[in-house]
Amino acid sequence: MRLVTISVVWIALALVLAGYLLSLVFRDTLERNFDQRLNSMLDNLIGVSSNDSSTVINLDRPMSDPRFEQPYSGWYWQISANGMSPYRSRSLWDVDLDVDYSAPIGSIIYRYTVGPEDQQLRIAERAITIPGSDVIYLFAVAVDTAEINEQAVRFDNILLVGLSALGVGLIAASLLQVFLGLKPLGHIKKSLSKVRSGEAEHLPTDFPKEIQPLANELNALLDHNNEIVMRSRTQVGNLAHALKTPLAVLRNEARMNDGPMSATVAKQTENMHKYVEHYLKRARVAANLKVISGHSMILPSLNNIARALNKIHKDKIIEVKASDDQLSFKGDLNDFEEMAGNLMENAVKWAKKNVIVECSKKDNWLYIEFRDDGPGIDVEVREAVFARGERLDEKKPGTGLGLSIVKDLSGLYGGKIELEDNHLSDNNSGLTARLILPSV
Amino acid sequence: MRLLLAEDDPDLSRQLKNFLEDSGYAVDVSLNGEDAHFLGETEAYDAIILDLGLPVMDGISILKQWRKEGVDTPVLILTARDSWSEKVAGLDAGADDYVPKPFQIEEVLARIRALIRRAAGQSSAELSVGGLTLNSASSKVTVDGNPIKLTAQEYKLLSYMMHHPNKVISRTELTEHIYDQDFDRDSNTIEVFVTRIRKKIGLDIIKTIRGLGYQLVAD
Repeated sequence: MRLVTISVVWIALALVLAGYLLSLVFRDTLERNFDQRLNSMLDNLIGVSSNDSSTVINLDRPMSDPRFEQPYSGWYWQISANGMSPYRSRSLWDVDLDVDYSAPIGSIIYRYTVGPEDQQLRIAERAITIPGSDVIYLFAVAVDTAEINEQAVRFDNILLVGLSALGVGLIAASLLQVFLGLKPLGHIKKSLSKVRSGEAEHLPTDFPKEIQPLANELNALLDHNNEIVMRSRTQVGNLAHALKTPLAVLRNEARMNDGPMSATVAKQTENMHKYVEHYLKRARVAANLKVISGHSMILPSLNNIARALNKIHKDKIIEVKASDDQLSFKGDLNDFEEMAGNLMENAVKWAKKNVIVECSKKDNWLYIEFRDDGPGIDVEVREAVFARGERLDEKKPGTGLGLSIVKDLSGLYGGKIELEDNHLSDNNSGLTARLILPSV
Repeated sequence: MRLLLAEDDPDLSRQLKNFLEDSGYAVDVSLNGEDAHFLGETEAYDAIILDLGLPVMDGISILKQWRKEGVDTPVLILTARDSWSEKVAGLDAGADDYVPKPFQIEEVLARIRALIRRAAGQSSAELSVGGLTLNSASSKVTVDGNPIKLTAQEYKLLSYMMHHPNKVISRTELTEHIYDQDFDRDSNTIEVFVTRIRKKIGLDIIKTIRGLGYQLVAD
C-alpha cells in the first residue's frame, strides 16, 4: 500500500509539472509566432504608408488583410504621433488604441493591452521618424489574442487528456508492477506459514529468479535452526542418558543397604529418574513440534517392534493389521515408536496368547488399537495407570513410566490414549489401548 | 551357572556382580567390548549380560560377531538409550531380551533366570526331577517337600545339572559353569561336591558315567 501511494503521488506530481511546463512552452511558442506575424504586419504597414505633407500620413494602398476593414474585427492598426489625432484602421471605428509614446525609436515593443469591446489585444509598436520630417510616428498593429488563447486552451485540453491517460496507464502499470513484484513475497509468506504449521519442512525452489536467493537464505536459516534444535536435543539426550548409569548405581546401592539414608537416597534417585525420563521426552517433543514436521510411516515400525517383542515372548502371537500400508504419523518417528513400543510391550506382557495391533485412518487421525487377551484393567483404576511411576502389579517388571509417557507424548501431538475392554477377544477379556494421533 | 557381565561402569558392574554372585551365579566381568567379545567366544557361559554402550567395540557389533561365530548363549542387553529402534536393533542382532537403564537389580536377575530356563527348554521357575525340586527364583531346593541346605557351589552344580537333565556332563564342563575364570580350578573338587550332594538329597539320581562324567537321570 505504501509503495502504491508513493508511486501514485509521484506520477501525479510529475505529470502535473510536465503538463504545466509543456503548456507554458507551447504558449510561449504561440506568442512568438503571433509576434512574428504582428511584426510582418507592422513592416507591411510601415511599407505602405507615406506622408504627403509634413504631418499627414497616408496609406499608399490598403492593408492586405480585409479584417482590418471590418469594425471591431480584432485586427487593428494605428499610426499616431504626439499632438495629432491618430490615423487608424477602419476596424477600430471610433476607438483609439492605447499606445505608449515613450517607446524608444526603432525597436519593436510587444505587449498586451485592452481594445474595443474589452478585447484582449497583443500589440506591436514601433516608433520611427520618416525622412524629411522630425515628427516621431508610432506605428502600431494589434490583434485580438482570442486566437492564441483558443489554441492554448485546445492544446491544454489535448494535453490534459493525453497526460491523464498516461497517468492512469502509469498508475496501472505501477500497481501491476507492485502486485506482480510482491506476489512471490506472498507466496513466500504462505510457504513460511506452512513450514510453521508443519506441513512443509522447506520453502519450495520454484520462485522467480530475483526472489529465489531470499528463499534460499530462508531455507538455510530453517536448516540452521533445525540443526541447533537437533544439537540441543542430542545434548539433552546425552545428558539424560549419561545420568542413567550413575542413577542405577546409586539406586541399587541404596536398595542393598538398610537405614534411613538409604531409604532417602532410594526415594530421591527414583524421583530423579522420573524427572530425567519425563523432561527428556517433553523437551524432545516440544522441539520437534515447533521446528520439524514429521512424516513417519507407522507400519514398518510396528512390524519391527512386533518382531523384536516376539523374539522375547516366543509363546505369544502378535498380529499387526492396517487398513492401508502407507499410513503415516505426522510427527517424529522416535516418538511414535516410544508410544507404540510401550503399548505393544504392555499388551504382550499381559496377554495370555494373542495381541492384535490394528491401524486405521479416519479424517485426519490415525487410530492404532493394541488389543490383548490378558486380564484387563478394572474401570476404576484405569486413570491411575497413567500416573507417573504407578504400577498396578509390582511383581511384573517395569518402571511404571510407560503409560504416562504415552499419555504425555500423545497429548503434545494433540492426540490421546484411551483404554477400554477388549470385547473382540475370544474369552471377552483383556484390554484395548487406543492411540489416536494426527495423520499425514 | 556362569555368567559374563560386560558393563563398563565399574560401580554398576561391581553391584551386579555382587548381587548375581549372592544369587548363586559365577560371574566374569568385562569392562570393554573387545575383552567381552573374546570371553564370550572362548568361555562357556550360561548367559551373557551385555551393555550396548561399551568402549572399544560396541554391543551390537559384538552380538553380531558372536552369532556369526555360532555362539548361541542367551544374551540380555542393557540399554541406556531406551529408544525402540535401538531395542529392535539389539534384538535383531541376536539379543534375547533387554533391560533399559536405570534398572532395579532384581529385574536383571529375573530376566537372566528366565533366559537360562528358556534356553534349557524350561518354562517354569521350578525344576523337578523325581522328588527333587529346585526353584531358580527363590534358590530353594527341596526333596519331597523337605528343604535341603546346600552350599553356594553345591547349589550351582546341582542347578546346572537340573537345567540339563539326562545329559552326560563332563567334570570340565561342570567346572566351567560353576567357577568364574579367576578361580583356581581343580576338577577333583567336583567329585567332592557330587558326593556331598548325593548324601544331602538321599536320592540315587546322579549317576557317574565312567570316563565321561555325570548324568542326572530323570525318569
